[in-house]
Amino acid sequence: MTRRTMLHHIGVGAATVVVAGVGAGSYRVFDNGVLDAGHGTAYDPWTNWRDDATSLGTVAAAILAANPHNTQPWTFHVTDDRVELFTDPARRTGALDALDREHHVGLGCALQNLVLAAAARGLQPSVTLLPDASDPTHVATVSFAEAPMVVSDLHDAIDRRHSNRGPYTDEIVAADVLATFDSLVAGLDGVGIRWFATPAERAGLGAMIIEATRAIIDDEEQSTESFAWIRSSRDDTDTQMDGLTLDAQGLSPLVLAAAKILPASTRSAGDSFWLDQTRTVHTATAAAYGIVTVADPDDRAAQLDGGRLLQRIHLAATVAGLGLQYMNQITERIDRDAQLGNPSTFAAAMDALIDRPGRHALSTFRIGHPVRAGRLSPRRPVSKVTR
Amino acid sequence: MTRVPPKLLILAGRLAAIGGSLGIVTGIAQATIGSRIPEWSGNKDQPVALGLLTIALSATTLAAAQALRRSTASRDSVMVRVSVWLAVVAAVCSTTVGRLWVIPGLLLITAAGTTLAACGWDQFRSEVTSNWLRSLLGILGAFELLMAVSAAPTATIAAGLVAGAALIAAAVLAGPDRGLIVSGLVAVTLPFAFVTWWAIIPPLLSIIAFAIGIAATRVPATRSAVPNVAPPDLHSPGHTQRSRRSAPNGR
Repeated sequence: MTRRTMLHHIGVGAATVVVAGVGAGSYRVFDNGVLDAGHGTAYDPWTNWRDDATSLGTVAAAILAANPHNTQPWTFHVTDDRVELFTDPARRTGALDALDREHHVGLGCALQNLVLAAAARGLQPSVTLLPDASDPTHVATVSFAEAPMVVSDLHDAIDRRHSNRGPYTDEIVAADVLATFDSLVAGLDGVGIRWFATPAERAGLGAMIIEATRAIIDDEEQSTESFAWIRSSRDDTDTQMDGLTLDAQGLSPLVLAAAKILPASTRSAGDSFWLDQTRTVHTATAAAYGIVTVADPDDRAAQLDGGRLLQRIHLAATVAGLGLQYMNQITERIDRDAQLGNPSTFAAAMDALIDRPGRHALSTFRIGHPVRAGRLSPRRPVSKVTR
Repeated sequence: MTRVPPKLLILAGRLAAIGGSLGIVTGIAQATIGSRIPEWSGNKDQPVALGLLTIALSATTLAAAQALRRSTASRDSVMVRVSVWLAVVAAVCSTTVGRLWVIPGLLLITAAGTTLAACGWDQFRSEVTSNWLRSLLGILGAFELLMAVSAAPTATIAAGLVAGAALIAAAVLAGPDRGLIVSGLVAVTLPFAFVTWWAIIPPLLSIIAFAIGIAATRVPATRSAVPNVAPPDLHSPGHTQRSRRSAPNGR
């Protein structure tokens, strides 16, 4: 064999190996939907939610609400003149949400969207929380009466509202913008909002969020429950239509594509990534934090009203071009400590940070000007959540 | 003198014709009612585009079937390429119309295998090894098609399909004009690579296709060095003798 022939064979062999590698990558691009993120049946509810002008259409808006880990913990019973909202106990997150606080806050968010959509359809909504004392899964009834159509900015922002887990710019959120959000508590009893906008306040709360994240990762049950709602493959997203996808992690396009092409991460790798993102992106770039406060965070009605306020704030932030992400690690640890009978270190520290006698944290979020737009999360269609 | 094609090739041609025809029907079904029968059509995001692609690819298998019916033993190198193409169409369309493709796909795969059997394994191996870089180019084209059918929106799908088809065409067609082929390769893969730059693989594929395209087109596609061995089911012994005499160098 001549040197030239040998070099030719080496070159052809190398080309073959490279083509095989590209082939493997191409298959991952195909299989994991790298080139069509946000398309498909699991995302259709974001585009067809206005199609139905009847009371059933209000449910189409409700299912687009914010909710914990995209568990979509709801079912609906719909008639012409009312919609009844129930929890779906199968969609609890166990140790991660030990006292079902987030579960009910998410139901409150859905309730708010439902009310906005009813008004936009010429249906005057009347909300009754926890209407059946004998059935704790029946969390609300919304009765309708005919009325003039009221289409609000918040209603029109329903399909543009997405949790934004990406970085935010260093531009501050003006105090008058935050003040307008304070007025969103109108009509909701016993809920309030506490802002953390100064550097010192942000630093204190951010450090506690990082500490709580570490505690969740160190708690195997909480870590496992959290990982159970991660959807790493397109097949999982298409079939289950729920959970946290790679698309919704706020990653840059290149990193997102690489994450989809590479094999799915393990729980421990996912935990490390989450902690790293919490430290270097979420808390590092937050322009401000908001905490929804209530007198009793274990009270179901307060949780539902708190959820309604959160949804209003998120929709208003969307209208204002702001990004928003829920950061509930601290309250998840507070409830977990209560469940296990541990010393309430996080609860005491949080109360000290809030510094409002008689007020306690229900839910926390960060807010700011996003570097990139938030992406869609999958949703189960109305037909799968009505009974 | 034109010789009668062997029975195996006639059979392969018929299988390809039936498979291609059914493929066109499945493409029409996907384009028209695909979204209403998701359990059969694969629940695709772009049923119309994928249906049209299936129709186009299935139509090419009808042309391949015609080539098989008119084949002669002296054109075994073409038959090998037809076999590969039938397999590529069967594979690509298995991703476009879901379960509807089961029967057309099986028919086309069988047609490809039958064609290969008629040509002989040695002929296939020799054809592939003597045109290995071109084969790699064709494989890259198939990968491009695979990515294209999973893309959105329709314009991106179209760009990918054109790029994939061009790479396969460059691999299959014997091109005497090296510069033209390389320029064409670059031109047709760039739009898809550009609109999907963030997905890493499409631009990488374009670069590799460019490099392999240059190397592969330095010499025209060669035909097999293996003498054409007439298939065992040729019509007459004399036929076999003529075939062997007429192609001492595989030509």
